[in-house]
Amino acid sequence: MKKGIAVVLLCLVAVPALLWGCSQAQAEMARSEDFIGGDKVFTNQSDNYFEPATYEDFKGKRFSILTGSLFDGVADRIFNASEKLYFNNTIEEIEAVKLGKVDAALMDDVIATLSLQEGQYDGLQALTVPLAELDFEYGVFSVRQDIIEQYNEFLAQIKADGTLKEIQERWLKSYAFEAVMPEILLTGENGTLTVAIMATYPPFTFAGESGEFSGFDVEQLRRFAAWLGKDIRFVDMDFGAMMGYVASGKADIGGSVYITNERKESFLFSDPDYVSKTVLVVRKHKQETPAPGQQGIITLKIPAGSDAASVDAARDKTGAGFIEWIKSAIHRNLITENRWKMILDGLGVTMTISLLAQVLGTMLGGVLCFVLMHKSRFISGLGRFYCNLIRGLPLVVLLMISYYIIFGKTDVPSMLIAVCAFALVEGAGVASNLKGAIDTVDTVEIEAARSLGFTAFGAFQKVTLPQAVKRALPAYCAGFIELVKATAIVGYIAIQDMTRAGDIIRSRTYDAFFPLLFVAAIYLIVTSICVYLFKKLVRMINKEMRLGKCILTA
Amino acid sequence: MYFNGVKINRKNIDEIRRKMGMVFQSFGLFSHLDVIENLCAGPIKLLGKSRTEAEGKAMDLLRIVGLSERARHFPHQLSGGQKQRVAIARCLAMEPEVILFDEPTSALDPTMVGEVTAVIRGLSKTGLTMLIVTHEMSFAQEISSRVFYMDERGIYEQGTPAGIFENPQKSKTQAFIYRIRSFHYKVESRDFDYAAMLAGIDNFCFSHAVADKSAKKLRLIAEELVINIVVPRFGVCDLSVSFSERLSRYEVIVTYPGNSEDALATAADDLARVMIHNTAGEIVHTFVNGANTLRLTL
Repeated sequence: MKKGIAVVLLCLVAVPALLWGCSQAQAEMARSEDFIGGDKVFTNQSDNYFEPATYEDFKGKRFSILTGSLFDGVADRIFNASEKLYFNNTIEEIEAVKLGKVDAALMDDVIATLSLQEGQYDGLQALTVPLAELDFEYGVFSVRQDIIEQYNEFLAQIKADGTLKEIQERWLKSYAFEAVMPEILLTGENGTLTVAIMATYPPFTFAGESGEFSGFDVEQLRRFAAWLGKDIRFVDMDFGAMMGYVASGKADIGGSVYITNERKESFLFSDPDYVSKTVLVVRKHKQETPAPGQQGIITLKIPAGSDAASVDAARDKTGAGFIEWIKSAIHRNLITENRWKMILDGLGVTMTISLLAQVLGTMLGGVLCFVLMHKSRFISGLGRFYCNLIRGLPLVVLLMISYYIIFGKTDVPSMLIAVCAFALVEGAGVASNLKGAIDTVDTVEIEAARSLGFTAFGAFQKVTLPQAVKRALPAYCAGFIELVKATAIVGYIAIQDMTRAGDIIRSRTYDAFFPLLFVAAIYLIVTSICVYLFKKLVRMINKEMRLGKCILTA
Repeated sequence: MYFNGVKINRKNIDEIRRKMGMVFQSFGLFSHLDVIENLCAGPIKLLGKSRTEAEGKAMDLLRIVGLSERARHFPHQLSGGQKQRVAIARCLAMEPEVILFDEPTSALDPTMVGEVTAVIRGLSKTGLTMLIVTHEMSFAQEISSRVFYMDERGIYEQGTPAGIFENPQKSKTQAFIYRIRSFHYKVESRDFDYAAMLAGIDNFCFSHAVADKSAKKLRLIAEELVINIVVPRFGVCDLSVSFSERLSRYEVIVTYPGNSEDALATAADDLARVMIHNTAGEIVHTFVNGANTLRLTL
């Protein structure tokens, strides 16, 4: 056990240290690139390094793209991309550019501008793409005609009274993370408006103070809800999941996305509430001065004393070392805006789903085991079919099928669906495990019990089951650990678990590694605790079995 | 199948099994329970005894089988003989009217057979009915009141131990009791392969470690009797060479068809007849169901 703790601690220290080392090396490189002399030549820039004059230089290059976004088509149509990498949020897209995995990230100008304020992206810049066809209109979408009509009416009204301009100023024209969400009174007298959003998409939607959703879309939609006399509920999910979520009717409306003809075939769109320009986020190069004809680099004034600025300051003092880096990372990612609460809530969700699914799965597994052992070949065959079916499907696929197809039109909470889906899988695992353990029990012992006069069930209860349970226990415990880790995919169905909480924090702090590492560490700690508790449990059960109820004294 | 005059069926089988203990060749102790729990499981659960009562009784039984020290040990900590004694004690704990033993010593090391047979021997004195399937002949002879020899899908021969062990009636029983080993050869024509027959006899004697002297005698009798006397006269015959490990008795038996006639006595070949008479100790001729049998014992 002590050895185990030592290994866990070692991992917890070694991995961040390693990463810190990497980030130092990168920072070093970035600096030397910035201050390079005219006659010095970099030999390590030969690969993928070139000097762009305009966006056109990126034709045929590699791109990072938000999964399900329409930049997918743009990359092909306009840039004839040689390779496309898909990511679930903006920060990963940009990180891929920084790490040199791709040459450019295609995105919205305001999003790029906001992201590039962060210190760690000093080596990157945004190039606007001055093509009219890449000016995209944003609008909310729904499958309900009445809601879209109401929204358009609302939009016309706020356009007219200048509110829309005010909202745009607040979130899109200045530093969104510093903006303050105005008080909007939601009466809720006409029910609740459910909105699907992607909380990792600042400045449109992001998690602000203590995980409260904030941003351009959020304010606009809150105002819309207030206008309708409704309360509002935001459901956070990956961009790729939003379409399905709205299509299945689980949300009344989906937060702002680009309006395209393709999408119009599946959804009803509101009138545009914002028109964006497209930019390429690329690495900076030797020449700092823009070449003639090159689009100017967009700059945005960061208010003094902001988060990002202090982070920059901390970054600059890289000499202060590992401890400083850790301190600032903890402050930035966990303490600011009480972000640790999101992680904690996420952990609660993770554990709730795991424990409930384990309990239900165990019950299901017990029943299923009897089905598998049934004398009738047909019935046991059904059991086997079920097990093979469930275990043959990837968990993510099973989860999404349950969510969007089986429970698509119903009002069942997504937590419950996740619990059920995981319980189904766990049940199949428990049943197979238990069946295997039962098969290993020596038949002579069962015959002996029958010869004493035990009924078939009595013999099962007294002889087979205790031995089988003892043998199945280690695999059962391992199954629970697997389950805890497997729940990390519930973000797909709009549940904010610990992994998703980490993603949301990353989208705020633009810190690609630390939240991931922190979440990984918590998973590691939780699973280690589980392993320890299970070991204790196994030992306790074995002891109980060893001593029995015997009252005999020496 | 009847038990105490009641026909055994699916419904009453569990009830009847409670009155009928069974000891298995491979013990069948509950490996997750220690010795005392193995003994108490049945009485507490099935006979409704209290734990105190069951454990007291279990300890008494363990004393009887000599294992009271091992009460808190697990089956895997016991030797084969100890396991089998616990299994017997477990049967007794159910206070059965009859115990069935399925080859209780077959899975045991020869050094441990004694400790188990001693326990069974002890039980036999208490008057408990026991049905034992075993290959331990002397043990069976000693403790049994009735012996069944099983062969040909059923009871082949039965009787008192004295009857079966001292004077078995049927050939398979005899072969088993006397541990008779034999070699058969069927002569089908006058031109039979006599060399193969003689080689067969040699081989048989060699593989059963028959002493050289006896082997030579058997070979001589078979050769003279079959080749020089019976086959020239009758054309066909059955030869059987056998010996009993237990009685150290060697025999040559020749069966041939025809009317009742002692081929040896009427043989034309005097030399062969004399040689056989000098070698064999006892010569018996019988005629049963149209077949002559000459039995020559060394």
